[in-house]
Amino acid sequence: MGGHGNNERAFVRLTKSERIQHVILFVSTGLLILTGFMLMGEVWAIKLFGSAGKSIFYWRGIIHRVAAVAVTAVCFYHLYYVLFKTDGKSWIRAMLPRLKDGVDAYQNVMYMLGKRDERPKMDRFTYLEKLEYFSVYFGMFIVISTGTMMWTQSYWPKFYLDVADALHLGEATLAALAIIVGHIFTVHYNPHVYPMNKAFIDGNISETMMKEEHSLWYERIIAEEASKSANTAHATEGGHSNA
Amino acid sequence: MKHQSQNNKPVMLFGRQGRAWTFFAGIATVLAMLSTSGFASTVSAPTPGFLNPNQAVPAPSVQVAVPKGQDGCLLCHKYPGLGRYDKDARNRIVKRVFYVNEDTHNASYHGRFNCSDCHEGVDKIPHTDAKKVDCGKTCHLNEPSSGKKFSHKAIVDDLEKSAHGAKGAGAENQSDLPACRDCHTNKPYLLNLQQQMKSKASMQICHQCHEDKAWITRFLSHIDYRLSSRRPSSEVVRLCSKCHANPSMMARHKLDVVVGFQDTYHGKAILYGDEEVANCLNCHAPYALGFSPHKITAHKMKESPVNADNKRETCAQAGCHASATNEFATGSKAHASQLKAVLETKGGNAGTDAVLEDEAFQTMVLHWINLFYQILIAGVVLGLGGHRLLDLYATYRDSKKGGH
Amino acid sequence: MHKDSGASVPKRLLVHLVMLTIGILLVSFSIWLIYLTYFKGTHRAEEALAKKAVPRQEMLYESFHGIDESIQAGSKSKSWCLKCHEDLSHSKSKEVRGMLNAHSFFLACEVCHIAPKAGEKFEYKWLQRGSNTPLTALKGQPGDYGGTIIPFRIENGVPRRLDENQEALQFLDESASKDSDGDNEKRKMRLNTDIHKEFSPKPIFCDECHRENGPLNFVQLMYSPQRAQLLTFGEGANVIKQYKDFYLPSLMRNARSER
Repeated sequence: MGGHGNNERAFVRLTKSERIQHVILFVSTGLLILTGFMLMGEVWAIKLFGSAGKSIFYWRGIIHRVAAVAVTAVCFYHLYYVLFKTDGKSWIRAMLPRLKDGVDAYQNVMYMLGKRDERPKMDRFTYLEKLEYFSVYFGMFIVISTGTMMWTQSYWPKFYLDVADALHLGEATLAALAIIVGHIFTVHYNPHVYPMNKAFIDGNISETMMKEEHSLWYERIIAEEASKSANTAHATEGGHSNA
Repeated sequence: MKHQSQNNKPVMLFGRQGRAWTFFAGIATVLAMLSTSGFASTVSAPTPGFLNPNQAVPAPSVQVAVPKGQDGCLLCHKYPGLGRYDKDARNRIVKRVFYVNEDTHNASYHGRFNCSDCHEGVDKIPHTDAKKVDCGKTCHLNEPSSGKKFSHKAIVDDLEKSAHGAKGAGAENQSDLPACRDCHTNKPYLLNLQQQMKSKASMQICHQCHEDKAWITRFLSHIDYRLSSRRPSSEVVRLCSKCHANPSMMARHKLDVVVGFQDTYHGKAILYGDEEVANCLNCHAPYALGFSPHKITAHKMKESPVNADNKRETCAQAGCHASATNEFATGSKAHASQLKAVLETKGGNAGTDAVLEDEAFQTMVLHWINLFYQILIAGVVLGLGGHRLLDLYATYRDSKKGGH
Repeated sequence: MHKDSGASVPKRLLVHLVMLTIGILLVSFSIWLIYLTYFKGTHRAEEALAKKAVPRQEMLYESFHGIDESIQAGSKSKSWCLKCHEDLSHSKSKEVRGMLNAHSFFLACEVCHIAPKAGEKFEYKWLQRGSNTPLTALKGQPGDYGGTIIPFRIENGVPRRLDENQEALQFLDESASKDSDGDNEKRKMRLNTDIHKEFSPKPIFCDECHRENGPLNFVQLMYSPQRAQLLTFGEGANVIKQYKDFYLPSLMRNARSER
């Protein structure tokens, strides 16, 4: 970290569409977590709202539903994106779990424990990133379906709603903790990029980070570039010069 | 259960129908249109105090004129410290306060009554033969619509027959049963009529026919209070919880302990101060469907609004879940009870009771879901957190070794 | 990509501060979520609700006739005696205990329970509840002027509260935070005897104050002349006239049995 300067080469980590999807996802998820867990608030904390509590409760419900619609929309768009768009298709191809991910996980843990000399070479998405990505599919399936049930509550047997409620709460708790511990603290509070991994803003990843965390992907891009030496690096899928 | 047909308005997008306020706003507008001048001074005019320091000096030998209105009781009962510790029916020590604030009393619902109208056997001092107040006695007041003597007896009789009354409840532990006083107190009318009467004309209109300004104030307060003020939901929940969340009392009566209401959406909304979601009474004695809190009966009784056959209509009452299905209303308990306590107090015959069996199954399913997430969350947090810490350790180790 | 190495120190500090704050918030939120998931007993809310102290505003409605705040205000401070003795402490003589408690609402215990020695005269002052500063005027309702009548003894020209025993007060403060041991118990016994040694076995009675030239000078105690007149001659006498069945002699006898 540090000392990389501004003239370092950058690679595209997230396309514009992916960044927009990410922004919609995290803003609405944040609002959903906030307004959702307001229902679990401690009595003394709720009392602090005093007479404003009533309208806060009203807007809490509205915001939760609006954010729920937004997050559902972005999820369905993402499905369309990975199935039909070129960038999306390359994304999902790189994301599909492989046997190597298991090997990577084992080797990386061994390395961190000091039992191996080098970290395993990882591709575009590391095993943790894949785990997180597919957890979102699982989580979204649960919260969207149970949320829809609760929104249309009058049509469901009450016991199904109880189950939906329990699943919604459990999944929300899991998601919130996974996002904080597994995502925010891993991605943004990482000494390599502290105070913030700007990839979600500008979409770029530095050459140093590429070598450190995605060396396999990096080597492949460099190799592709070399084989297509007639063309400039700008035209390739993988990266462009930021100099 | 024959409910009056309800005008089922379409449910709004976010599930609320703010009808109540429009109604009250209408009333307020009518009151405002009636307003008048002399009114403000009437409301704030001090009621004649009894033996207050500013009154004329009585010569020692002359008897002080005791205002007829208060029987002279306030001679002693105006002192705030008048009281003592006592034991109640269940041998608990209670603080008994015999102090009466005259202004508060005069402004209260019963402000027109003398002490002796309700308290009998207090002619002697010290009061050795005072009787308990009977709310069902006949007052000296005429009920204006019928001209008959007024009495709360009809309500007292209703309560007597209800689940909360001596005839309706089991014969055991009757000292637990609520008396009128456990739910009702003689509150002062706290309404600010001055604020409602925006113009000063209304009082003069009233005064053209009615002589007594204090009477007019009381009359308007009564009407306004009845139209606009119901107990806040939080107070209803607190009131019912005083008994129904008390495990030992519920066990004595073989009843479920109500413990899950605050965890429901209704409970949370009430905690935030939302008055439009259901509190205890909206389902157990919905006024909108013609029920009264004084007639609450056990859910097994056919007429109960929470009887399985009537639940759908209760959920679907105007302003609530208009499109409620039978399954929605009866699928499971609206608020969780302590199933264990239920099973124990009902003498372990849970196996023969289909409802309890259902409940036990449902509780088990929810328990497994919670357990599943508890394990999953522990795994994910410990796994990801551990991985993160390990990674930080490795980074630190590498940097000590001399950079990457 | 990486933070500008040329960024000024304050700016970098600010970034650290922001990130630290966000981090702390996220960690606290996570801890709360874990508490919710594993440690919070659900279904306890109503029980807590039923048990929790009733807020003052609602307390007004707990008594049928609507207690006002003077009830709660009255139970604070007064004489030091109430550090151990409870509020409404008269309980023996059934017929008059209520009335005695009404008096102890604004009279320090020692007004009635310590008799002046022969030839001695106490000085009586209204002290404000809580702050213990002298009242300058009586405002409020009879029985609740926001203060307590405290007797003082003039020692070497300096007025001293009858109930004041610094050692005892200090002992109470200390023992609150200390386990009792043998020495402590001895000291407690000694102090207990000490503070009660002046207490007369026969307290002062109604008619000893409610008369002309009684120990309490109502005018000096800032009562209006009218009120003073009533206190001297009025209320009790009127009760007798108002109620034929009022049996004052037995009232007095009962009062005499109260210690």
